[in-house]
Amino acid sequence: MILFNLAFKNIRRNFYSYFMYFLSMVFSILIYYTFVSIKYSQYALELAGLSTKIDASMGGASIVMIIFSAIFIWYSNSFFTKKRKKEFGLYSMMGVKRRQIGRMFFYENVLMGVLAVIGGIFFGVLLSKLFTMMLMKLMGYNIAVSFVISKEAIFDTLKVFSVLFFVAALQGYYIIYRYKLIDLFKAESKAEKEPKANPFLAVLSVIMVATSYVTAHTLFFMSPIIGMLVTLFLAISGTYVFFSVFMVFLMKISKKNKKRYYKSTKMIATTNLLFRIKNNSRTLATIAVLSATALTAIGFSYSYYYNILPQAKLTNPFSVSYKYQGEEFNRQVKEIIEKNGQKTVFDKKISIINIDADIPAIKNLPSEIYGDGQKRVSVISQSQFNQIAEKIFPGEQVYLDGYTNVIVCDNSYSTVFTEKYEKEILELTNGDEKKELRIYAIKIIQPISTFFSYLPVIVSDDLYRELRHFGDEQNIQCYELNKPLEAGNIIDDIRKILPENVYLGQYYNYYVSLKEAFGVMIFISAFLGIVFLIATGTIIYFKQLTEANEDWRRYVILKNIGVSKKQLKKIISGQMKTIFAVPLIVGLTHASFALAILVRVLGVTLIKPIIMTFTAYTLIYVLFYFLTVSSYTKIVLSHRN
Amino acid sequence: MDTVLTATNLRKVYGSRGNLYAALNSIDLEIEKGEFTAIMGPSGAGKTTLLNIISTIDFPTSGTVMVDGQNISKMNENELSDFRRKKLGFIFQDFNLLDTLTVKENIILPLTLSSVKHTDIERKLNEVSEMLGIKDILQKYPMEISGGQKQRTAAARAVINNPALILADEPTGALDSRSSADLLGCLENLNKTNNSTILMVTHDAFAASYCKRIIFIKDGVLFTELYRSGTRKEFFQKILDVLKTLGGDNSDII
Ligand SMILES: Nc1ncnc2c1ncn2[C@@H]1O[C@H](COP(=O)(O)OP(=O)(O)OP(=O)(O)O)[C@@H](O)[C@H]1O
Ligand SMILES: [Mg+2]
Repeated sequence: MILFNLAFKNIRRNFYSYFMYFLSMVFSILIYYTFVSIKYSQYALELAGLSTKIDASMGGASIVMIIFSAIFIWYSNSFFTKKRKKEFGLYSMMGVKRRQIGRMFFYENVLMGVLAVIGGIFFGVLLSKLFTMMLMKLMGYNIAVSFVISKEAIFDTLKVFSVLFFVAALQGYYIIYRYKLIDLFKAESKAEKEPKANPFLAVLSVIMVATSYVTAHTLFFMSPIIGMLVTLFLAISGTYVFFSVFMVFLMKISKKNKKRYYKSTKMIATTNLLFRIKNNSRTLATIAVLSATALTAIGFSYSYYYNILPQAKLTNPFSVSYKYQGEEFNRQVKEIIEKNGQKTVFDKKISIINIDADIPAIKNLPSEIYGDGQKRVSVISQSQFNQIAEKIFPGEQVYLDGYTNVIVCDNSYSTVFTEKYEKEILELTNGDEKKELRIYAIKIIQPISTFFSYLPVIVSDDLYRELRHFGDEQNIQCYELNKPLEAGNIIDDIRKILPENVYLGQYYNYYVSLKEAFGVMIFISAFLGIVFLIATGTIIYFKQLTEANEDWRRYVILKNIGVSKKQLKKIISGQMKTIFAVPLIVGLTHASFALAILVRVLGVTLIKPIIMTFTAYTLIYVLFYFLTVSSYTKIVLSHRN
Repeated sequence: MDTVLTATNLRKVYGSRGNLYAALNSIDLEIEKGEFTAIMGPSGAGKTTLLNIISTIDFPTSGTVMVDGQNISKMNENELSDFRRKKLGFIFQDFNLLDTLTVKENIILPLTLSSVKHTDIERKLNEVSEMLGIKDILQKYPMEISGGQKQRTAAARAVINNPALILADEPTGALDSRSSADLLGCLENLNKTNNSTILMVTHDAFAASYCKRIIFIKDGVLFTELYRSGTRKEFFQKILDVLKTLGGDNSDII
């Protein structure tokens, strides 16, 4: 019990350095609880057919959380143990048995764990309603979520984190138990010698990272698995060498310019930083890699989420379309639309001609692969296409004339993954009759639902008239609504009156299911990303503060020989700027290149969502920067002599 | 001769309500340019307190301190920092060298902070490192040199910007007798050739015997003063005599 009391006092005394660790643990547990409570929650189950998907994704996310928390706890634990070696040594000198010290540290860990779990679950329960509502909103539901305490989730969280903390406590006990007394005193008396930097390795690290960027965009497209492995290996090991060698190398070079180096506080700032980087290079590199991973994941899901609508429209461009059923039927449809309080912004009968065709330059026609396996195209006249484009694909209008040039609309076309056939010959056949046309350009859009068309080909109005006898002409009735994302009821009502064997083309349902899937994905990746971010920020924070507690003498010396408070603050914030900015910039650069691949694969521009992700991430980092600078300065200035 | 330091009616009271303790009690002190002065006294006499006040690291409860014609009690933080950097040089018992800087960088630190031209920096460095006999270790780190070398490095740092006043608190406190003698020789040399003004707190009668003048304080007041005359041996003997009458903690006096 005495040991237990001592342990309690220790936590209180060390609370400052433990505080951020504690907060990020509470946060991690809170997020874990959120994931499992959604997994177990009733609302999700009520959304019939969807529940399993949420279940699986939340389950996966919670496993990632467990792994990440385990690593974070392990890292922090060994860090704190090392930091307190001297304190333990002192106890040893006072005659406390090593086993007792180990036990004391064990109790400390258990107590921390218990408090963190209680805090995490408390805030989890408090916020779960908010988070569940957030998820529903992201998935496109407007459901009132009631406040529910999930017993299974609490039990699950308790179980998982009890085990994690218990193992951590055992680890702490083991570390202490293994130490020899002399080791306990050695901990902090590390000899500081100027780090060496091999110029060859320094240059190599930059080359490795640069090469990884190149292989990401070349090798990856030739052989995805090997490409990915090579890229990851080069990027990650390059990053580690970059921090341990290149950064040191760079600063040593900056020392060479005496004129600059001997100016004002430059000399102190540079040397301090040099030692700090040396001592932290592995942590900083890890943080850069983690940031890159988190940023890529968030950027990826956010970009996808951002592109759900265009994605949904890629197979079905119209709110409602069907094979023309006569004017009477159209009237009924319009009645349904009006009854549901909507208007049409596009209402046209579009005609297409389905013709047997081939592009000899490629093995399969795209519509053959994704459609019903027939070598056919659907020809649409330029004037009709332009009417569609004006409303649905602004800026995509085409101007063709003559009888040879055509434009193909291929929604699965990708400049990297599919066979190229731009400028190739398109052969149309009608029995013995043949016609050769030239593919002038390819557009990655779908002007007519894939339900009713083969590979769409835009031709000049003259050519269209000529091709009428080449195949059978079909009329598709197409509508676009003024509020297309509220088309649910309209679609249900039209289905009721539509003859059984007639397809209804619409993108609303696809949009909804994409939104559900990617709503879950962005929810998970955003929360995981924030957990990563906070954990890495916390690690930098407590490492820097530990150094502040070790290095305050340096600053007192400086103060004594006449460095003003203002200059001290400048030195500190300058150092912290580098410590925070370099991993962030490296992480951002890595992520940009990773996401650039995505842009190429998806063939869409994701600049806006990516910039938004990067900005948010940077802002939180900046917050951590200010927090660290202010705590650091406070620690340093609190010491007088 | 110019007066470098004038302290008038200095008082320093520690503690708060009901439990006040006067560490310094109406001290008056004047130091001329080119003097090499020691402050001696039993433990707890207030030597460090006095030196810290003159160093502008601590503040008196009342009284004024003028250094080089400037009243330091009237300065704000920024002016004090500037003042310390330009007018004062410090040598501390525990060296106070920055372990991340080489010997050379430690020495030139005050000059870089004042943004002196780098060619002038090299010239000054050459001068002082020669004078203090540390030319060969300039590229080493503090971890790699002896205590005596560290203290001479600190001394070099203290004199490199030609301060009006060099202050030293027990500079030989952490050194063996050989290194002490070396350092004191260097200080004496600085005083002679550069006409540097040095004020040094010491427990050690041997160290004090290198000085030209010794001020004894006891219980926060000036007790007596000694000026050097005759050989160092004779001076040393006189110091021991005064310390005997002074009483108090003499345990570490030879
Ligand atoms: N910060 C403080 N708070 C309260 N009392 C103090 C403080 N600093 C010093 N004192 C007291 O003031 C008196 C003078 O202390 P000072 O450090 O100046 O003595 P000293 O002459 O340097 O002694 P020594 O030879 O042991 O270094 C002592 O009695 C000391 O206890
Ligand atoms: Mg003292």
